[in-house]
Amino acid sequence: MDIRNSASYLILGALISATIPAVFPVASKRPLGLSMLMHGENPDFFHPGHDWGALKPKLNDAHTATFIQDQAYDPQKLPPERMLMLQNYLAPLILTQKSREAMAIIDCSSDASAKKRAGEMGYQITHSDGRGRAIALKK
Amino acid sequence: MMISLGILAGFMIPGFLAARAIVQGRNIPQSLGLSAALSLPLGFALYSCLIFFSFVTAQSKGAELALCLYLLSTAALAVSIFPCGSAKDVSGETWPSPRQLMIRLVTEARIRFPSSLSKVSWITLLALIFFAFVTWSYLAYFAAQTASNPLGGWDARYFWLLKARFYFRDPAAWQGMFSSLPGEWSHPDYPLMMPGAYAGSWFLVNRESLIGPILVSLGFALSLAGLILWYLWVHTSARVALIAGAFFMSIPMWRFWSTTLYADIPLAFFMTAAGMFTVLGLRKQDSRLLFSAGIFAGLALWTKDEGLLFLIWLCLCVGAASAPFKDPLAVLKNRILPLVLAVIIPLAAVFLIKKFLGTTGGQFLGSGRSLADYGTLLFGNFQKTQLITFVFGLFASNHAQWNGLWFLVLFAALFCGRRGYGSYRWVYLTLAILVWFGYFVILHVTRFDLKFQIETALLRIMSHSMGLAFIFSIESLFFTRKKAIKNR
Repeated sequence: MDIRNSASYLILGALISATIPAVFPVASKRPLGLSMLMHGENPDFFHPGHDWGALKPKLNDAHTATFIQDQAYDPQKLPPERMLMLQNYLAPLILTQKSREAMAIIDCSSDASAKKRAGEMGYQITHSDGRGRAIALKK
Repeated sequence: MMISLGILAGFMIPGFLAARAIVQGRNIPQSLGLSAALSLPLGFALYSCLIFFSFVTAQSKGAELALCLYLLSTAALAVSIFPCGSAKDVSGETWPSPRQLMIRLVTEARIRFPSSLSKVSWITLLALIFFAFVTWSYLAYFAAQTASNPLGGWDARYFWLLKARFYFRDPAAWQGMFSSLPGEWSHPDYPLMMPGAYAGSWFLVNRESLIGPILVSLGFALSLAGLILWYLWVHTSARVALIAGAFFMSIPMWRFWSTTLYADIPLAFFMTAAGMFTVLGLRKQDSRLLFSAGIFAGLALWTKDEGLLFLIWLCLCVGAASAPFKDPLAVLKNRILPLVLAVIIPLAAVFLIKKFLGTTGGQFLGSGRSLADYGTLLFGNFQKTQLITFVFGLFASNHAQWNGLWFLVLFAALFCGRRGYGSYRWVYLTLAILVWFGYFVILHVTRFDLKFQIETALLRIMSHSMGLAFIFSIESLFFTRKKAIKNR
């Protein structure tokens, strides 16, 4: 066996010994819902933002809406995760915090807070689920 | 199950035909294996490009037009690789009849898989079992991760899948994905490979299934591993390819990021394929293979903006490889031009988005900064340069992420010897280094906070060149002269 061959076997040995610990522990349990997922959907999975399911049909064909939360919009901060979640759930409706659109999506911690924030921003609530989520139109 | 198989077949069949069209007549050994590795990504890319141009031209009827064009392209590809009569291909070879073709396919398969196990050495057999075990462990890991988090990570949820939802939910309002209203985070000017492929997986089954995007991501990851396996199998030996392939599939960066539905593994795939076809084209002095390399470089550009930098690096490498040639016009015509021509369609799509659709002003072009500003950013802060260099080194040596990949690359670069760089193998390493160099420069001039960029993106974007660097290290250490002559 020449030097090149010996070196090759050493390198292959090193690759094998680096591979084995990296692939353990093998995920041995069959993940819940995988078979349903393979069929195309998992009925146990709720898309983030599904709590807006009841109000979604009331949006009609609106293209844009202002997103309002308990806290006032801070342009220095990244948008809240909740807004991104709802953007995904409500698309193709476009949510924004930067401008006052004709319609607003209010997503507050309570109904009282939603009413307060709607008033502050100059909106009139038209639909509400009574738990802080509401659709409002500009006054 | 049928839905999953339907989605895979819907991409794989047109992609396989496109791959055959690319490799046919190019004298590439084991070309069925290469076609299989290329098939899914090519299927995703074909649909992704078609859906974008269909929506641009037909707006609300874009989905229907895309489907028609997709079927037509599939038929055209099928006709182009299975022609009837006595048409001749570019090499002058008469096309085989369907019966002859079947015989050829079976014969090829027999060459690949020896008829009796006694012809396979026990080391190769053990390597095959080892590779199968690692593949299974990856699939188990992938299933567990994606079943518990089917929507993937931040970028997947809020860029790629979100844009796909605009395609799918209301074709008339699809241009909402380019709106700057949500804020800078939504990156309205990003290219649309992933949204197109994800939306395609939904259009194929006519619903927003969770499994569609997961299969797209899995397809890209396995295709990258398959591409590397094919290349090493052909250019080193079966046992080296299997062991190296298993090692590649153990790299946590590759395993984890494939489950997040991000665009980084797909970008790594297209960069690796482009680099590979460039090397094959240079070795065989075949401008059609360089054209194919251009197609993959264009698809890298259609996947992420970083693809534009890669295209520049690729042209530079081809230019450097052609430096010994005396006739610059011939080099331009036979090597650079095919590369550049192949990029035109994805480049046009990206230009449309950046110039007319997602017009928020880019990070670099249209950001309002002058060349002097860039000069100051690049050379004005030595401490920043030191920090970025240190972080690159720190991240590359992170064993928990790379499983020692970059140590292997460094070892190969130092000890493979002069012959290790021969046969244009240096192109792989040079491309990998240039890809990192590009990101090193970008970190200096980015408008975003440096700490934020390092924390959220650096480790991930370092993975773009992992395929190229890995191929270099294994081939330069294990290439054999016999194989090199055989593959000429």
